[in-house]
Amino acid sequence: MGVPFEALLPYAIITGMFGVTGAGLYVVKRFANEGKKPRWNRDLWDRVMMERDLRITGTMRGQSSNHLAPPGFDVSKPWKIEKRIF
Amino acid sequence: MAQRDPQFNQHVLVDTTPMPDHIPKVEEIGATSAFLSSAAYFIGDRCKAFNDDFMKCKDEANGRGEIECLKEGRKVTRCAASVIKDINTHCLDQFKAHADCLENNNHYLFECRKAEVSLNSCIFDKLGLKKTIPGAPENQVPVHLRPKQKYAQYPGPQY
Amino acid sequence: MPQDMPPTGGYAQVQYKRNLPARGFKPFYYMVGMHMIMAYGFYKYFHGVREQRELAREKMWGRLYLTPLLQAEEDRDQVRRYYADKAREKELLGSEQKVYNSDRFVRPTFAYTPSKVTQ
Repeated sequence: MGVPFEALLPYAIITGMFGVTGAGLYVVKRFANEGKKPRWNRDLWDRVMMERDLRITGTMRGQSSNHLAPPGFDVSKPWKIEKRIF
Repeated sequence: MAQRDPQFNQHVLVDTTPMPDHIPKVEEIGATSAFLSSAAYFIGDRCKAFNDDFMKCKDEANGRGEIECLKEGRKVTRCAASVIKDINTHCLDQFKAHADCLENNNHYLFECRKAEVSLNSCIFDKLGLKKTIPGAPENQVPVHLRPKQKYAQYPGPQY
Repeated sequence: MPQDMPPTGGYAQVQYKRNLPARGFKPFYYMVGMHMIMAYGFYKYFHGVREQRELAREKMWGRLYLTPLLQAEEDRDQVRRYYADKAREKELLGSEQKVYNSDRFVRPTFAYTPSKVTQ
């Protein structure tokens, strides 16, 4: 007694949809990280260094091996501020 | 140093006033995170004296190290810049390969032993700088020289 | 009526014991096997922990070697802002005042921000 193929259709849909979301997430993450694998489990050091990369290269994932910083780097450090509450 | 990190910060404060003239200028280092962590041990090898000097000055300045240790800080920056410049002129390909590998592997050094070994040998041949991890146990192979890396995605022999 | 007596030859044996065949090995061997598996697991675990410790040491020393140059960069930025603040104060107020009763270098908690934020 074979299983009617209609019984397997939902499983095909489920598998296909997981595949769609997985591929979509892969594409979106790669796009957001400029074609590199996304960083994960970043600690404070990594986050600070990524902000420094942003100041040097203009993008969070950009890398540069120059030994001299681009002009204006020494005055481009942003201080994060908040408004006075009281 | 009294410091409170801002909560819910939405603005940044950028001050573009240049350094006053009575303080000598120094070029900042333009290498980014992957290249810096790739070159860290060589910077540490060549510039250990300057680094220690700077940190000692900061330690002994009794809270005024930011202003009083500018001279030592300039030396540290110049030394590190010289190391990065030398690596760029002599071992650029291996340097780039290692940094690319680090960028694609969440800056995990143990994923990139193959690139690291070729970079280290090139730098040792050309510049004479060597990567040593202080405080590692004497009776075992240092972790960056082990061919098998247990935690890499491919844990077998790396090179 | 004669008294009710057991049947001749006595009653049949009551079966109170279970009559199951003993499968598999003796329990002792299972315990030995379990301990061997656990010993192998702990062996791998200890070696893994040792490698993790060395990897952490490698990462930490890499960062320690980078700390002075990043700190020097940050200090120059702080000092530049400090002198800029002093110059602004002198320009606006005509005098310099110490805000904090301390000789130490203090990163300002409160800062004057431009009214129009362009960035």
